[in-house]
Amino acid sequence: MGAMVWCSQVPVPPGASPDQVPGGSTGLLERPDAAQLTVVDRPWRVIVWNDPVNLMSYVSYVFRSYFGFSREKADRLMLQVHQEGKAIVASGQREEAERHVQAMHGYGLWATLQHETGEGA
Amino acid sequence: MARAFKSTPKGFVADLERAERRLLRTLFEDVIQLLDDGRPEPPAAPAAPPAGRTDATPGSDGDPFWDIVAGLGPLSQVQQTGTAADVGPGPGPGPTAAPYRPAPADPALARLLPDGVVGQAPADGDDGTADRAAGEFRALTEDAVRRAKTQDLQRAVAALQANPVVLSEPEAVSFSRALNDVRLVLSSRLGIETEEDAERVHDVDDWSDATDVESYMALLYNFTTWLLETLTVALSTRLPD
Repeated sequence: MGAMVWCSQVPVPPGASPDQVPGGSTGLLERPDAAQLTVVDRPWRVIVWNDPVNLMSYVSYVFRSYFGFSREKADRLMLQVHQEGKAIVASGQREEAERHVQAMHGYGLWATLQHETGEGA
Repeated sequence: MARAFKSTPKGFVADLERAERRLLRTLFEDVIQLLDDGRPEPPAAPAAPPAGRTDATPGSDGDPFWDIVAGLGPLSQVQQTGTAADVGPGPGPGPTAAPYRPAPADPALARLLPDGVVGQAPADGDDGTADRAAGEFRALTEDAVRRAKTQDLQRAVAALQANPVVLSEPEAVSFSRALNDVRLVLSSRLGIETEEDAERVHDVDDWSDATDVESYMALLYNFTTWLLETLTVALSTRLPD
């Protein structure tokens, strides 16, 4: 589950340098070209949506355990979901993003896949 | 009364009374049934409704509490009757198009198996592109999500054989997902759609107030919520900061 290059910002900062991408060097399936990935190369976003049922502690736990986020980052994203209605928790290649959406559904979180071009990017 | 999950050297341990374990087992089994009933295959003739479980109302002979617990599954079956046609190419292009599967008609099942793609903006228009994409995504992933959930729920049932309940970490993760699935189904039955709805349900906290289906389900929801909260906190202590 570590193949993704995670983005902590919303939206993906176009100028982000690869070494600012948390987890970029820890992927289980790390690729040699990971450092060269640009927004264009990882145009699929994983969005988690707010709902009144999923517990804040549970959402944060899922972000930490599944994505390997720090407590601070997981809490920040969880609060963003809670307060703003949604948050982008990952972006990457399509198959990876699909796998993450599927995993979130397994946890009972409502996640969706979104293509960058969907927002006119 | 139940005592919360704690992280111990032996694993994640909770003290649950026999009735509480029976309750949880039944809830887990109801959701397994719901997932199984909602399977789009086979597109065979509609099965006869299961005898004896469809009139689960507080007015029936048995204990109304258990009627409700046992009724969560059949409630879904009633709603499933109209959805047997949910198989096939669906709207849009013909049989040569990518496999497509519509969302479940039962809102509780749709909560367990949500769309993986949504319309992104009004500018997206209503040309059905997002629906089409959601149906295609569902055709690719829904069966695997259903299997994973069923496996979690079955593990959770198996973990409730004895007291105290002792779970390894993988078992605890499965158990937490299973508890959350039960909560999702109950929330759908309770009509929890807003924070205000959730607060209304949360306020039902006295078993002596359980006088109707709604309050029973609210108490079940609150019990599983509490248990999940304690398990989640316990699991979180094992993670690095």
